[in-house]
This record gives sequence, structure tokens and C-alpha cells, in this order.
Amino acid sequence: MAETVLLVEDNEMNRDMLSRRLRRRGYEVLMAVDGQQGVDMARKHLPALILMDLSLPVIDGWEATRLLKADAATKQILVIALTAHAMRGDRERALQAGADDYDTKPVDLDRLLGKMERLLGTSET
Amino acid sequence: MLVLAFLAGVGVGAAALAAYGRLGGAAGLGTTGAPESAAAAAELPAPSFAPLMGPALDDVVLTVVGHRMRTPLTNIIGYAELLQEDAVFLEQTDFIPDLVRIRRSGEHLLALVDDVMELTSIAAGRVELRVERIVLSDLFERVREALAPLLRRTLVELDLRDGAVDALHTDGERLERALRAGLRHVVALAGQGGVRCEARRSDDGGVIIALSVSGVRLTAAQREALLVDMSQPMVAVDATEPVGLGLVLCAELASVLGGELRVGPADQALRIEISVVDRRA
Repeated sequence: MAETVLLVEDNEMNRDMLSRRLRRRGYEVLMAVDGQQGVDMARKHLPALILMDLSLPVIDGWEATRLLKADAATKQILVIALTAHAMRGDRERALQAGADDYDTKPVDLDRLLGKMERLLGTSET
Repeated sequence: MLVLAFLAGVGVGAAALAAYGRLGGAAGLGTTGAPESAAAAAELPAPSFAPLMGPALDDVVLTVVGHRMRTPLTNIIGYAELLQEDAVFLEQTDFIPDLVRIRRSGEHLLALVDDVMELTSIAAGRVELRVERIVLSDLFERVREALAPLLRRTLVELDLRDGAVDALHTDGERLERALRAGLRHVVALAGQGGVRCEARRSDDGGVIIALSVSGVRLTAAQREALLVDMSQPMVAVDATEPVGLGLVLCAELASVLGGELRVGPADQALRIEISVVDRRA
């Protein structure tokens, strides 16, 4: 059965290209455009993994991650924070907020898939 | 006006643009020639904002322009990769070399934007060191992960050795950036050979990280040229590899960390050493 991934990203083009590439690799992809919608959709659909951009409107990715990890119903959902190289300290703050891993943008898909598979336990190797 | 249009395009706020308008606006107001315009201008309230100059302008460049430039660039890179996958799927592989050129050019530009932002921050004197205990093997692994796409593409083997250095006290993010910038450059010089990155203690208790390429020897003239213009890889595998500012940024960051960058002697295997101060004391 395809794993469900929630992509929380406010940039329409980033959402479009990453979701298309993940679907091509067999993932079922849900999308949210801000942090609050990401939290709401995570509570409703309980995806296996969330790809969480950090600079998001309404509530940012750090706060959304904190809320999800503090909620008994959603704390088991794996979160990979997507950060920009240029954003100093993002990585540490994401891990402090409870993210299980992080990756940098622009996304290198092979590297991101490796992290997703490792966390989901779906790697064939 | 070009600056105004550019800043408007990247979303700089109305107040900032108004400030720009005031800076260059005297001639523009004078050319309207309409009496009603002059009267209307006379009724304008006094400006409640300061012109955007000096440090405030640096802030706009660093915090707004830099990030706004990254987003379209990451889109260009991402869609080029998506189209590459489409080309494979549709068996239209003739398009792939051009798509690769688009993607690599985007990556190169993005590396330059990131490096220029960092360099601008240093030049503006906005460097605030965040000293922490850095486990060198962890930092090397983060560097390897960041460079993974470049290493995969160039087939360069990167041998990272922390040697006898377990940990040091420095600004870890800046050291990581220095190593990434230096290694991007050295990997581009290496062709398909191997690059070794090895740390050791210096006599004064600091740390020296040596980047060496066994298959590349610089002549005296090439070494001199490298020291003069560190941003140009001379024996690059591919002109579009994302070198960014390479050794220029590496040298600046080494200086920020209390050290320096040195290039080894000519006619020997290429060797670049980055020294940093261990701020344990």
C-alpha cells in the first residue's frame, strides 16, 4: 500500500514539482499551504510522514511541528523539516521543535527519498 | 529606476520603495512641470520614515532580496529536474543535455546568491560568532551530505578524515560553510580524481583542515592566478559546476574564524589549508 505523505509548503511551484515527483515514485501526496492547514490535515488524515517547510504563513513550520509532536494523536507522525542553506540556525531549531530529520532546499530528490525511506523503514537495501 | 523595479519585483515593501523614491526623486518631481502637481506636493505631510541607506539598505539586501531570489531559483532547478524525469519517461532523451545545462546553471547561480549573501553579511560587519563545541566527524558528515549531489555528478571521491582532532570550539555553521565553499571549488578542480580533507592540530592549538587533490598540480603561474582570483576554477570539470564564490568565501570565513587560507607550493599536489582558532579558552 502506498505511504501517505503530507507536503506542507506555501510556494505553489515547490508544491507542484515535489508532489509530482513523489507521486511518480508511488507515494500518495496530500498538500497544505500553511502551517495551520498542515496541522489540521495531519490530525484528520494521519499521514505516515510530513515534509514541512519552515517559513510558512499563519503558523510557521517550527510551531506546526511543535503542535503535532505535543499531541498524542499525531506525535508518531514522522516530520522532515525542509530548510534553506542560507537560513542560519534553521536546522537546529527544527530538530529542537521535534522534527525527526531535516533536508535542505532545493531538494535533492535522491537524498530526500533516502531519508524518507530510512524513517519509514521502506528502503530495499 | 532599475533598482526600484528590481526591488518591487522581489516584493520590497511600499515604505522602502517610497524611501527609494525620495532618494532619487528630486529630478523626477521637477520634470512634471504641472502646477497642480506642485501644489499637491506642497500639501504632502512630512515623511514619517527615514531614507533607506547604509545598514538599513544592507538589511533589505540580506534578509529580503536574498531569500526572494532563492525561491525562483529553486523552482528553476526543480522544474528542470522534473522535465529530465519526464524526458526519460517519454523516451525523449535528446532533451536531457539541455535540461542538465539549465539545472546546473540554476545551481551555479543559487550557489553564487548564497555566497554573495554570506559575503555581504561579512562585509557589512554583521558577523556574530556563535561559538559552540563542534564534533568534527559530525560536521564532516554534514558537509558530505550537502555535497552529495555534486560528488555524485562529478564522480569525485571525497575522503574526510578528522585525524586526531575530536572536537573544537568555534562557530560550527560558519566552519561548515567555509568547508563547503572550499570543497566545492576543490572538487571542481579535481576532475574525476579524489579529494582528501584532513584535520590536524596546529602548534598553537588551533585546527588546520587541509584539502588536497592528488591528481592536480598547479604551475607557479596557475598558483599565482588562483591567489589573485580565487573564484575561478582553472581546471574545472565543467564550467557550469556550482562553484559559487569558492575559495573567496572560504578565505573570508576562515578569517572570520580567526584563521586564514593558504595555498600549497607550486609543482606539487594541489593543497589548500584552512586554519581556524579553537576558542576553548
